Amino acid sequence: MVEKVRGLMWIELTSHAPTIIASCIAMGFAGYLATFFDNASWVAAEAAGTTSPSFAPSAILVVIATLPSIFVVLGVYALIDANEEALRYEVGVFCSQGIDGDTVIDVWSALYGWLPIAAYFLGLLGYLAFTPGVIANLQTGLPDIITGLFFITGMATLIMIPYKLNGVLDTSPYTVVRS
Amino acid sequence: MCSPMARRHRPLRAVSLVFAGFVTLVLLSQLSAHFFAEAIPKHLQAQNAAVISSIQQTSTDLAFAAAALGLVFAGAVLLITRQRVAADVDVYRATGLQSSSAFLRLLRSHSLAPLAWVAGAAAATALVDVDFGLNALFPIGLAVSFACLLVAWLAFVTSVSFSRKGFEGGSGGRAG
Repeated sequence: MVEKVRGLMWIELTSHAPTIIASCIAMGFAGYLATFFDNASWVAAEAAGTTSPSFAPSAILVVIATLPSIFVVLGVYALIDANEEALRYEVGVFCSQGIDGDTVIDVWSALYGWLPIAAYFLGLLGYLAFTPGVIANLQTGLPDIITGLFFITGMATLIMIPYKLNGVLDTSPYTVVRS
Repeated sequence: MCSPMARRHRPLRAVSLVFAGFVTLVLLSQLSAHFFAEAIPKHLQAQNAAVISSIQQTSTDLAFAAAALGLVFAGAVLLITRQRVAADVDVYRATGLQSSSAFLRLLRSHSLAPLAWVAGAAAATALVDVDFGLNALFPIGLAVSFACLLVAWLAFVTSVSFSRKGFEGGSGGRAG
């Protein structure tokens, strides 16, 4: 069974490589953008002082930092939506090879959910690594910022993507075969 | 005849989401520069001019990057959905329509929803940009690029389908 799952993962990875790569690049970009917004917010707050009336715009920047990943997750959802026919067909094929629907969902969730989340994390780290001074700027709040952004992105990805994938599974011939 | 399920899953629904999403992402990048400048009081802006300029430059770069990424993403979705569009063109062709008529029908069935979504997003974005005194031409330009990409893609798929020889000349077997 483990061999079958490994084979399934490899087949899906190679056959949907362009989609997965596009998703990962976009999520990496969203991570980069989010850290940039957070750094801009910190720089603004540092320059203006957090007690001044200008605190509101820098707080808005923190809120804006959470949004790129939401839009990119919507984009990944759209890519899966565009691939729906192919995925539905594949479920039937995998089912005929003795692989159950839950395993297929797990593999898809790894490729369309966890891999993009990892790319998002790399994007976050990418801005920190390639922009001098950011780590020093955000030093005290860095764990909170990364945890917060990661939590929001993870929640959005791991709710929307499996929801869509389960929708694909439920409307595929696999469901008919199982019933 | 299309079943209700087939009607519900319009082929280019994914394109609508991508178009509107990335136009909004460009707006977010523009807004970040605006809110950053707003966050620094007027009397401190002179001494922080270098920092403000640096952040605003990065913000503009990221807005352009978001636009480029949106075009790549939209291109990917259009490529993925090509088979569905091509199938429709083949049906139009099989019924004896001219390529121009097939193209017009294709535009009517596949481009209206994405164009409406992108026009809506561009209008909302332009309103916000004008309200905050930002450059509204940028998101509108991106929206126009999306529209041109979609129309050009549909024209390309139509011309490729009509430039092939008859259905009997394809690699698949003859029907019947």
